[in-house]
Amino acid sequence: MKTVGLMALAATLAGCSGGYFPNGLVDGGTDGQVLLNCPAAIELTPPEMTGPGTVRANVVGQGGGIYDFRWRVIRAGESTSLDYVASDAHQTGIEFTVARPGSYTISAQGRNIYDGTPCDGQTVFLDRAVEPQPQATVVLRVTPPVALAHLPRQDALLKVTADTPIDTNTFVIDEGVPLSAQLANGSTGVAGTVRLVAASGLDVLATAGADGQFQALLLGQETYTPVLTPFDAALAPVQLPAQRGITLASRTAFGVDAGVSVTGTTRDDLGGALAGARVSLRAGPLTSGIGVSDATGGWRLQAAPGVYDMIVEASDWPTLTVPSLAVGTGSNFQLEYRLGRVSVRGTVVAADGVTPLGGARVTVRSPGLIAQVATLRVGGQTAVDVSGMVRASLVTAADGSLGPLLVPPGAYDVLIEPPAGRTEGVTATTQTAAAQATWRLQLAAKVRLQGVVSDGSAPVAGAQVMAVERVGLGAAPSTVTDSSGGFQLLLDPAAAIDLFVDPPAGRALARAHLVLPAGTSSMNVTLKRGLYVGGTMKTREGLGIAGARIEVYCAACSDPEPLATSATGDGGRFVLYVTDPGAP
Amino acid sequence: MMLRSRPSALPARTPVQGLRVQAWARAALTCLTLLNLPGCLFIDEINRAPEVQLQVTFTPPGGLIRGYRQTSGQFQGILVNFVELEASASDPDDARRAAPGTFGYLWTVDGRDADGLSTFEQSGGAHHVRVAFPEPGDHHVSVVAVDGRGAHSPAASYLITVIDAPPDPQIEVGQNRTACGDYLVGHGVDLLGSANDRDAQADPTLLYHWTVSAPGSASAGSAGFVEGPCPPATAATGTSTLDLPKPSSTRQVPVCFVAQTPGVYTIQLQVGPQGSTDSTNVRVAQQMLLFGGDRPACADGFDPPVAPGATYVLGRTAPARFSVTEVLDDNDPFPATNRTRFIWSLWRESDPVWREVRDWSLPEYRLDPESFLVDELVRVRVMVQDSVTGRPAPSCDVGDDVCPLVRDFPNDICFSEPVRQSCQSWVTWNVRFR
Repeated sequence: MKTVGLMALAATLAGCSGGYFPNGLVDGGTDGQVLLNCPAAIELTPPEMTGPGTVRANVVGQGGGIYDFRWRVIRAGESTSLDYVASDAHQTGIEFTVARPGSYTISAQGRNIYDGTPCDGQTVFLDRAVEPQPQATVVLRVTPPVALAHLPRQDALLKVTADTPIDTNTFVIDEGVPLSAQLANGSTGVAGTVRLVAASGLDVLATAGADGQFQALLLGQETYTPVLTPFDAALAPVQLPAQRGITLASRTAFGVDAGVSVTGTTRDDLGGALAGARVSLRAGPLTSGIGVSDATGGWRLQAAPGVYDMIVEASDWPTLTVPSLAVGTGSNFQLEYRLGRVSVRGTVVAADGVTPLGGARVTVRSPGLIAQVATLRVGGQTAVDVSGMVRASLVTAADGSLGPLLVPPGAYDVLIEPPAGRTEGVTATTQTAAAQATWRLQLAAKVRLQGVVSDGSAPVAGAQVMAVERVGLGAAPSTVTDSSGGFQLLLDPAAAIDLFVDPPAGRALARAHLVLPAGTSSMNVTLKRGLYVGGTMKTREGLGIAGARIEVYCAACSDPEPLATSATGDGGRFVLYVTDPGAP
Repeated sequence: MMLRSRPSALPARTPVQGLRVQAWARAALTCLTLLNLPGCLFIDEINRAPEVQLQVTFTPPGGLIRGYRQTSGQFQGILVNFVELEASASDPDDARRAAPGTFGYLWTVDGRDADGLSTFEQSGGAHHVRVAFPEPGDHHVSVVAVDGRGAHSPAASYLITVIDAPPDPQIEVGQNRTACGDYLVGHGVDLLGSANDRDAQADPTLLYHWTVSAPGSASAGSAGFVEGPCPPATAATGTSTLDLPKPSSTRQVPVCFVAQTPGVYTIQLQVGPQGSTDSTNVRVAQQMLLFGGDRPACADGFDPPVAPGATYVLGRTAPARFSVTEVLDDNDPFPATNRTRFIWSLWRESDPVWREVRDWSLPEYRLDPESFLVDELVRVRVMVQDSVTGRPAPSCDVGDDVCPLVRDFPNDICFSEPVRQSCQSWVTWNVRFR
């Protein structure tokens, strides 16, 4: 007994000095027991949280081992609690998960395992602060039905927050401001294209007929940069200063004129005149007229004064791009190809290696810029070197033969598109152009891409899987997952794939978009949790817009593909799922 | 026939004035005055006349006669087989008797003794009789109660008017309809008018009066009737109303209805000036298109806009996008692209054949301008196809703008309007990239 009493005293001293027993003395026990100072302190690790995690709660103090504790964790405002019972007398703590923000109360009821003496823990509190929820901004691109001709296609921004469905948003679709004007040279209407480049939204395109008249529907508050491109080669395209739609709509005429005449010559590597070369100038959305070289190699085009990139295309010659050329009155450019070429022939055969295939399209590209392809002299100044790229397309004759193709010696990327009706895929290969070279281009069979679509825990049946290929003319084979979530697609071996997986209608899952390298044969896709977005599209008068098409795009990323698509029903109501910004 | 009944306006007739004293009554009087038989103890007392009340009811329903029942001064139309008559007598002398006496009820119909109805002796309660009136016209019914001592009550009378019920007209529409169940503009619709006269009292002089209510879209005079069956081919428009006498040899009157404007017409037939009418709706379509399962999809919205013959000249700074923004279709909702397919093809000056883009069924197609020569003319074409496994189309009425203008029909789907001219199954954009 005395021994025990000394131990208790020692513990008391320790508690006083080190704060181990901050609440005071330890009671003296009986029968060899060491009693806790009751109520016993409870220690939390960590003491506070700013996000989800696991918390450890312990009764602190000697003697805890002779008590059984019943723990209780209650989240404020909720009637249910988490009850824990220590599995044996030595477990004086618990661990629990704090998944949601809130204030938690942790308490423990202890009872001496020998004599039943109660000893509760001091109730402690844990606050899990509301952590900032991930957010994202999406663009709802709305295409009103044709019947509502006064409503232009437009974008609406929507901020979405993780784990926060949206169901009551009303989007008011702006009425357009009609623009009816004339593309004119002086007082004479001219045919051409009118492009209104939007600062933040959707461009507007219109064509002016022979009388120059055109119509368009603009958004009043959008800022547009008009780019006017007359078809008449004697006139120069022009870019006008940006203006708001409401201002542009008040205009009745958009003027074009001849601009400045830009002249030049093109010559081959032997100094001879190069006829048929096409010369154009580009500055962002603005282009010039087209200059086509005549038998003397001379060309002329009309352009608005400015700084342009010059592009020169000539059959059997690399395409040249000369950046940042100042163009003004009297500009003159002399271009001379310098690089020698070799003649290449070839044959396209089927996957069996034997059958020649006519009608196959073969595209030949240099893998990078070819240096010193030509020289350019601006006015009377010193010639500068110009680099270029080979970009040639040919179609095989009925016997599968190809060529001749004139290209500078070197290695080339070759893309072979099979003729219609063939089962082979678009095939890529690398070929070397050398004197008298003959290429044997064999198509390859399509590649099977297979995988399983799941929601992270179970397969998703009925999901639509589409593989978009952008080589050649492109292709977009699609299929639907089977009851096991499985899918298979036959793809072109040369094509990198944009794989889109759309969940079945009504599933709270988001569309998946994956970029796969060419030749990928296996890919499992997990559809992330979808965030419910419901709303109503209305006119300013409050009328629901039924039949509007809605595409959702990511505002902050450069993905040009929609995250989701939907359409409004009766009353303008729509429902869709986008990727939850908080989804892992 | 119609029955109208009301308490007779005639004065109650006394026995002397209106009734012949029957043999059994005279015998009773002889017993009482001459023989002084037991039971005739109060011969020297005054025997007061009984009173009688008459109630008339009619037996519904489902009878052969369309008639009217008077209730609280109003007439209700009912169908009756018979008239139920109930006579109820009372005798003021009963108060002095140990037991109520008996009554005889003497019925008269249209002034004649109705021996089959009358009864000689009924102890207590009312006397019910049932009378049929096969002939239209006024019918007088009266009843006299006679007590056990031969005293007669005043007569209670009722006047029942049986009116000839008008025939029930009926329109039958001929079967010269299209497979969609419609009738075509300019083609006759055979109609047969008949009148079901259930009391067989139809007036042979009644007229069959045909009228038509045209839809709002139809102009005056664009629909009408011609007497007789329709000719096999197109028919001329007749008059908007037509009166025909009832034929003597047949119950049915054929007429031919012709409309020159699509829509739903309501045709009415009235037989007799006061007769009821029958009506029927006839749906007339401009033309009938029958497809083996679905209506062609129709592209209606594009981006960029499609102008016939126009060419866009575009820069190369961004991919060129071409999209179909709206498709009108009967049962393939857009943008449910798994049910509406888009077939894209490309034509270019350097390869002047149409090449179909494989497996590209999306409503949008993107081009890389760098794939084309400077200023090369490129044509992008999209064809819209709907699902080959389209669901049954919803039913609708012609002229309903909201409706996709198709209706279910067994095994096939019928289209009752011409294909919309503003819609196209395919379009082409012309573009040059600089």
